[in-house]
Amino acid sequence: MSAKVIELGTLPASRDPRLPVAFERLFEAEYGRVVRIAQRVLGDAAEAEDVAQEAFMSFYRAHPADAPFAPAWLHAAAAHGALNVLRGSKRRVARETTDAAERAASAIADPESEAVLAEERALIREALARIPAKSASVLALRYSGLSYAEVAAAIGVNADQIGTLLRRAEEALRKEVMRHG
Amino acid sequence: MDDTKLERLLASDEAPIDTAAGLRRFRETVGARGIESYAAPARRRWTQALAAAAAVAVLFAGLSITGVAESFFTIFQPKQVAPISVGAGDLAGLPDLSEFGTLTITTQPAYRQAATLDLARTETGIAPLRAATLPAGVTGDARIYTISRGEGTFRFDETKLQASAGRVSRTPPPMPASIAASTLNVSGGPAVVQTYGGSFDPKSDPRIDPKAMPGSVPTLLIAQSKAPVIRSDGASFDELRAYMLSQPGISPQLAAQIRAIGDPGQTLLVPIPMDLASGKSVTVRGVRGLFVGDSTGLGSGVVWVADGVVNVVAGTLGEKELLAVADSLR
Repeated sequence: MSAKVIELGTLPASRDPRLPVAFERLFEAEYGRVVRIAQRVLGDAAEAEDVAQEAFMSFYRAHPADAPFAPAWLHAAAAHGALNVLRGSKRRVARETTDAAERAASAIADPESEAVLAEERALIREALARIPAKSASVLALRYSGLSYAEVAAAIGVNADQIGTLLRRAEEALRKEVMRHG
Repeated sequence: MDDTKLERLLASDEAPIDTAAGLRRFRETVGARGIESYAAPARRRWTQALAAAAAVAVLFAGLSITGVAESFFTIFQPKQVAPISVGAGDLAGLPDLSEFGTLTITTQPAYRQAATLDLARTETGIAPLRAATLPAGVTGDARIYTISRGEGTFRFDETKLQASAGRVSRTPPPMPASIAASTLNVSGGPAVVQTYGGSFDPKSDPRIDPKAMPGSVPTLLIAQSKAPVIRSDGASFDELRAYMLSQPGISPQLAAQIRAIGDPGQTLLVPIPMDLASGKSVTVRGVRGLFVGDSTGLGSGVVWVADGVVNVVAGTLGEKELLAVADSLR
């Protein structure tokens, strides 16, 4: 029996679409939260899913799935990605306002108040795009249901600073809404 | 407007999220684009390592040339930095350089912790810059590391390229004779790295990515390295650039950006992921540098080249704080 010598470099590259088990677990555990963070910023389910897919893809390429920082990294990436989309798409906000107003007018019991709500939501997202990015991230992360500790991990500060950061961010957002509303 | 109203307004018509469908979509993208995960074989890590090297690991670069035949001439020696905006698709499509030839490390760089900056200077010959002011939250003494000079050769190999072309679906253009007969000499270092906070250890993780590990990266990192040098015994920089940019997988946008660099042999390109960060030109200690920040202020860095040394200041700091540190270096 002769020894077989295989040069590793000549083996065909695998195209198996199965992902590492650890990554699939991470995806299942975090996808919902990552989409929700992006959705808080964008107010659009399809765009939020695009941002979440992109965040997971960046992580998949660059980091091991079982890294202890994985959830925090993904939450931060969702907030950055969504804010970038928001900032880059003023037309989208306008479209959202029109769509929501039309929906409200056609199908809902109280079309007038729904149209007002849709307009307020559009205004608040425009304001979110204008306040400092760190403040906008804190709001998106916290209002998507993350705990203070999770928000702190995502933005890389101590948990005891989150209360203050959150209050400042809310104040900044209110002021911005007043200024342009 | 109270907090409840704020929360209600930031909400949207949130339909249930279909994680299973999301996972299916993700698998399809990975399969269709042939994207490999972090834990994939060394072949992929090599490509990632190159991208990382282009970004920040200029730390492993140097000026002095020893043991290189006189027929070699310098084709790359940066004196300035420039940003290149890259999308996720651009990174996925980068050619795998290991298919083009063989890299041999002739001098392995060595990492060591140094007790003081003076000792680091004696070891490396680099005069380390000291931060005169540190931002609030950055405390304690810096940990100091030295990285010795490294050197390697890259020998182009057309036979290897043809063999790999048979295994993958894409066919690279034929290698020009001037490149096929060439060997590149790549050298880098020595370098001095100072870190504050975190648990950065270049032995275990030489990539310096402020976003990679929020819990353990240093709050502040100051690094200086002799600028990298690439020398060739045949192909010119223009020939190499034209050939590499003609590879399948290099997007026209990426190629156009690289072609637009006026002085490519003297410009260190810093890839900036367009979805996560942005870059801008700044002046640091009287020299033009490149500031790179992520979109939320979670981390940022500034890179500049002066007197043959590549300088990097990076950290989990905002732009103002980070640039104040860079300007305070003495």
